Amino acid sequence: MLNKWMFDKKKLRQTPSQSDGVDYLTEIRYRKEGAKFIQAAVKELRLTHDTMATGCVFFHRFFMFHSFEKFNRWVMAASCLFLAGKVEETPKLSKDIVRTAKNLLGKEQFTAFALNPVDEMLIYEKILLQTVKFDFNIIHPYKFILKYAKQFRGEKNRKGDVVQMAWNYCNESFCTPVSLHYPPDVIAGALLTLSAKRCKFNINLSKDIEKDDLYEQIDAPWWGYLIESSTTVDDINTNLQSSTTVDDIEEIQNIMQRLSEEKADLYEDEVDVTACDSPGNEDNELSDVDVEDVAPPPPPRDNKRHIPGLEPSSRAAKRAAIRDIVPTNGSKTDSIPMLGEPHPPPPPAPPSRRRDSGRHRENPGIYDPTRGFL
Amino acid sequence: MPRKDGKSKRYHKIGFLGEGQFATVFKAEDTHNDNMIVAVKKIKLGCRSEAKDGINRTAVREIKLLQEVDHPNICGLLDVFGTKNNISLVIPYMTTDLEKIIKSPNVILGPADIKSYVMMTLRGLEYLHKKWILHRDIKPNNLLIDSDGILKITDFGLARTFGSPSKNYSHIVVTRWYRAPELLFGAQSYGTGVDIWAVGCVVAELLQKNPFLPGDTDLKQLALIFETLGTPTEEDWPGLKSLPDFVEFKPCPGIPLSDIFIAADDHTINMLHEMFRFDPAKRINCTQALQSKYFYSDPKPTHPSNLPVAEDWDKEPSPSEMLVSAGTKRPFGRMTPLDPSLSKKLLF
Repeated sequence: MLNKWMFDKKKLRQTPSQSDGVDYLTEIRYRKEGAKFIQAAVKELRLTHDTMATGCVFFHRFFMFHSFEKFNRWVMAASCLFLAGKVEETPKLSKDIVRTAKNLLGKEQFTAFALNPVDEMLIYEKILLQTVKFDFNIIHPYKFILKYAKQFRGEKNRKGDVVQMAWNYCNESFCTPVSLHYPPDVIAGALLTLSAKRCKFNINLSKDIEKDDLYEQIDAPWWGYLIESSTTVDDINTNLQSSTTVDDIEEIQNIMQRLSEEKADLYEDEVDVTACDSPGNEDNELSDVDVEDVAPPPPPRDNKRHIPGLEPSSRAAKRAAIRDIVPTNGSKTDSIPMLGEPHPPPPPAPPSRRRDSGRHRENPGIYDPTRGFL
Repeated sequence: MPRKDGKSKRYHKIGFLGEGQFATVFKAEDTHNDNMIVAVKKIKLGCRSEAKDGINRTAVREIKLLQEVDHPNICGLLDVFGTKNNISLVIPYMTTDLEKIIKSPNVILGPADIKSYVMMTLRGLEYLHKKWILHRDIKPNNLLIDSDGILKITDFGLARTFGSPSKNYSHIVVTRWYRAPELLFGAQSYGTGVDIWAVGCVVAELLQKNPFLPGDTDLKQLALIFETLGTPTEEDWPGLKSLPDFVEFKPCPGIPLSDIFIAADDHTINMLHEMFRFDPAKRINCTQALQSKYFYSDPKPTHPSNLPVAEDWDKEPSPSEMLVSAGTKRPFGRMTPLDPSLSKKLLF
């Protein structure tokens, strides 16, 4: 079930929208806007994070088969949320969804819902159902975040911080098409690695696991032992060449990192984002770019301000990564990121992050620490 | 508008299998798969207000759960397709079901056969419960039997996941005759016990070849349960009186199960006793039931391939049989296709 919905990254450059003349970065922006809208509506309607996540995944999947030119993204996003509500046992009436959409969207955007918004959304739902092939079992990284963090050794509060941050990253990750490229457990592994780095938390697995013979054999950071998707993805889907490799984990972390930096001036840079789609930014270059991006331990400008003395822990988490993939070359912060990082010296990320995690803590719908906590 | 169509053309309707409250079931040929015979369950479009909410929630739930399960004793999902206004589920075609077998006058069920059916039911149910799924509609006509004699649980229209303590569930589930007392008293948090109670009723029905507790109304159902099994006290069932719809019943001693099922051996009676425990917390669970002496004593359960064969759906039922099925009015589910001329007479 899982593998049929995994797409090679090249596929994201050959989507129906792009055949219709929408350029890559615009499509990425559309996807992000759709997901943001779903998230806002989920918050407004007090639905669960699962509903949000399922809605976003439907949205991303749908536009792998259909074009943004033919289907209005706002109506489709509303429709995805509508279906996700039913799938995740948090149903909302169609008229409630439409009302929320009306509140959240501008007048101009809402005109896409045509004369009869409810009917329009229902038509979209039918097409959505066919496109997502009635596949309603979508597994999200959240549960893996909790599951893996349970195996960490360390103080409960510190672990809680790491989980909270990974959780927020996870919410954000649905604005990107990561869910189309990686299985949920791999994403969870990457997000936890990233959060641990940011929280200066050294990930060590519980003593029981370290005694396990298998653990000794696995030559990978902590997630090598916990993540299960590696072999299955590799064996079944040959399109997806890489199993859970250091690359994947790093790649997701980078996407998230860029996402949080980009957020500093949220939509202001949209124009620049599109401009960034230079011909040089082609498929095969993508991976090279990302590896290069991986090379330096997280840009110091970013982290020093936020968490002083990050170096040791980050080294611990990444030692294998750096050793294996990249010969240490100079830290090139200006390499071209996939999601578009318009200005070479990006505004300081930490404030934005802090603001961000604060926002999610306020929101009871997304993460409830009394339940499902460590 | 781009639409992947043709799924409804893929399945050729060749017959009618039955109609329920939420769906109509047709027999069809899968033209893309060697004309394999399948059952197509067409979800009924609700009233206009429901149509405003797109795909039926129960259908979503059923599809989602069916995609998650894979067990020899559970009837899987082959395909789903949507037509203009409808959603259809394609499931394997089964030659018969347990209701048909029980009602069939020429089938004699020995204790070993019954044990085999009960075992398969419990295995399927154990799997569901381990996956945190409550079936909530266990009854003989939802237990299908395939051509190899394997029993498969079907109809997940009422099923749902359980486990989050804060959620309330509807108590209007399970066909009345198989409904556990806590549901009849309006309990909103319940668990696997409701399915076990229903299995108990099915076992009893297999033993006496008649519905065990056929109540006409919810209150009569409770009265019947207490007349048969004795009225529970607060001691038997702590918390009984605080259930939302609790009504005091006059104390009844009940009839010993061994007097009802004279032919059944002690292990059978014991298991029934455990399945009909009033307190859901004390009721046996699937795993315990499967490990009980009942399954480890003689006679050994019959191998599925040796189970009695009831006539195929296609066989025209005799008029007397039809009168029975029309008279007892089985709540929704598959029924034998009626002869059109007769069905008119039977309408009123």
